[in-house]
Amino acid sequence: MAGQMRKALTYKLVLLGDAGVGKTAIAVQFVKGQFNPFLESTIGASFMNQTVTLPDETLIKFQIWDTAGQERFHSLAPMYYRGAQAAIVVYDITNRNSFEKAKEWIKELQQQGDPNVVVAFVGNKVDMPEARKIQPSEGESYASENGLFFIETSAKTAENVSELFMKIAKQLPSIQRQKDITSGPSNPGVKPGVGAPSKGKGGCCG
Amino acid sequence: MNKLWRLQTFIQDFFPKGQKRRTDGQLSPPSVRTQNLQESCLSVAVVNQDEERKLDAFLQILARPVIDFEELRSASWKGIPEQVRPLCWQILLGYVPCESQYRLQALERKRSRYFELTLSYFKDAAEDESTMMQIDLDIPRTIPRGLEGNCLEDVRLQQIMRRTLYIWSMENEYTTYFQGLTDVCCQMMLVLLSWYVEPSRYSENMLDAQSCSQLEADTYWCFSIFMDGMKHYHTDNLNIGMEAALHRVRDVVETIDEPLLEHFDREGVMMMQFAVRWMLCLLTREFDLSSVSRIWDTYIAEGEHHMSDFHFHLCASLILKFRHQLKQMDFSEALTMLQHLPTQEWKTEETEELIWRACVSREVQRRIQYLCLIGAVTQITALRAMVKMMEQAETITSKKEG
Repeated sequence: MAGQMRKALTYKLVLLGDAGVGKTAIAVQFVKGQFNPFLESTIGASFMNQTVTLPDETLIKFQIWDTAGQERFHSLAPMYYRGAQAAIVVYDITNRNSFEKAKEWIKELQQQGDPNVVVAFVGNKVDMPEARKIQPSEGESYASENGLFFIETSAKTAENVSELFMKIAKQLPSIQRQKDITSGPSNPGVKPGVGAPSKGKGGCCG
Repeated sequence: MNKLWRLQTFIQDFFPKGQKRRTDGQLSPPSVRTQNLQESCLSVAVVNQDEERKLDAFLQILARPVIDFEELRSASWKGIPEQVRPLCWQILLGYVPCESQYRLQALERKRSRYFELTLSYFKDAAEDESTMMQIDLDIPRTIPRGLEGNCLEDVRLQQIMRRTLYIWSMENEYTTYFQGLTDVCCQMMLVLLSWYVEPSRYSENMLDAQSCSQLEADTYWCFSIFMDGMKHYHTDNLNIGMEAALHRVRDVVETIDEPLLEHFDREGVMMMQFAVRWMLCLLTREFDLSSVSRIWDTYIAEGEHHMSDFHFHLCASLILKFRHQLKQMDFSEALTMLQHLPTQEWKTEETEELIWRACVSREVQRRIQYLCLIGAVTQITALRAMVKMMEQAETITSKKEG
């Protein structure tokens, strides 16, 4: 890639979900290809970058906001999901509460998020089938009722983690093109840059 | 040896008479501590004369039947030798009285009051189950920087944090537990534990039951008093509390380097995106254990009413420390840097310098505020110009050094 000028599209992506469902683990697996069972709790939100290449050679640069899961931090969340073009709402397949919490996040996004936001509904920890409480069908049907895409992952084994981000990436530009057609050239949030890291701010909060 | 003897007399003030020194191979606090002190005093003597002189000065202050609080405060502001840190913190926080004759009595009263609290909150199952669950989820995920050994795997130490945090949360209904507090509580516990045994050398069941319950009560009270100093921005609605706190940090940065903030604004970098953790974990995630202790020495010496203000200045100085790099960075680069500062690798001198900078920054702001108050416009302009000149001089020096 060095020296090659390629168009990178920058997108803001936010991870939401209950505490301990594996939001940070998913992000770290995606960005660094590592897994650590004892990751520190996230305070506020942590920020990461990762670029993926689509089959048509388009570069998609994700600015990932991995948020804190505790309810106590809820009042900070809008700052992170506002202006996001993609959201990953995570629950833990071994924990019923986290599934309910994930549904609440979806509702909140539908009411207050960007109407065009690409939302992935993700059941994490499939490496623990013996402790499973939420069947894939349940997640699947909730997702399809709400027009989200559904996937089950394991941040531990990396199963479906990069697939999750690729799937999001593939959905993003098409939505963006539609937007371009309807609203003309101005599309705040997406800043085409040159190569990675791209110059200029990405869709930031506020 | 004289030094050791003197330390032992303080230690006696903390432990009820008749407490066994050594039982069945289990080391009780005074003997463990003495042994450690012997070693650490020896190494201090060999390695660093300055450190030894400093320790001597502290021992002199602490040896008085009635400790001169102001003297202790001003000495502690510049950093406390680790051998006497637990005692100094407890006195500065007002947990232990300055009068040595009342010390044991006061401690016994506080410790039994804590025991009553545990009885009322842990009589049956935890009243607030979700808080308890959250604390249980977070304790194994607490990873202090630079802690050697595996003392935090010990169930007893985990239990100390668990109960301290739960009771604190129940006693402070407007603040309640939030993630990040385990880090703060852990730092406090490890410093107090060092009174008994070096945390890195701690092994399972090293403390007997009595020492454990004393450590727990002391951790609870010292943690609570320390948190009182930061309480006003740990509000029920975190968003509002953080906005207010970070506005103060922004203000300080603006006084010293306006162009940096203009750059942040252009790039869309906001304090809320990186400094929330600094506010809630009180820098335990940015620095290693010993540096955090050093920074907290100054916070605790500042006292309840000034420590949060000093914390804001320190955080502002932390941003300013990297301003030359930050000004060259775009949104992603700046945020990545600010969220992963290289501060864990800092040497003692760099931490000392940061504290000093925070102090200067506070002085400058206090003077500007005063001048604003009396409407001395020309003086304010002059002071601002002076700050700019100082900054320019520093830029030139840093370029030369670079």
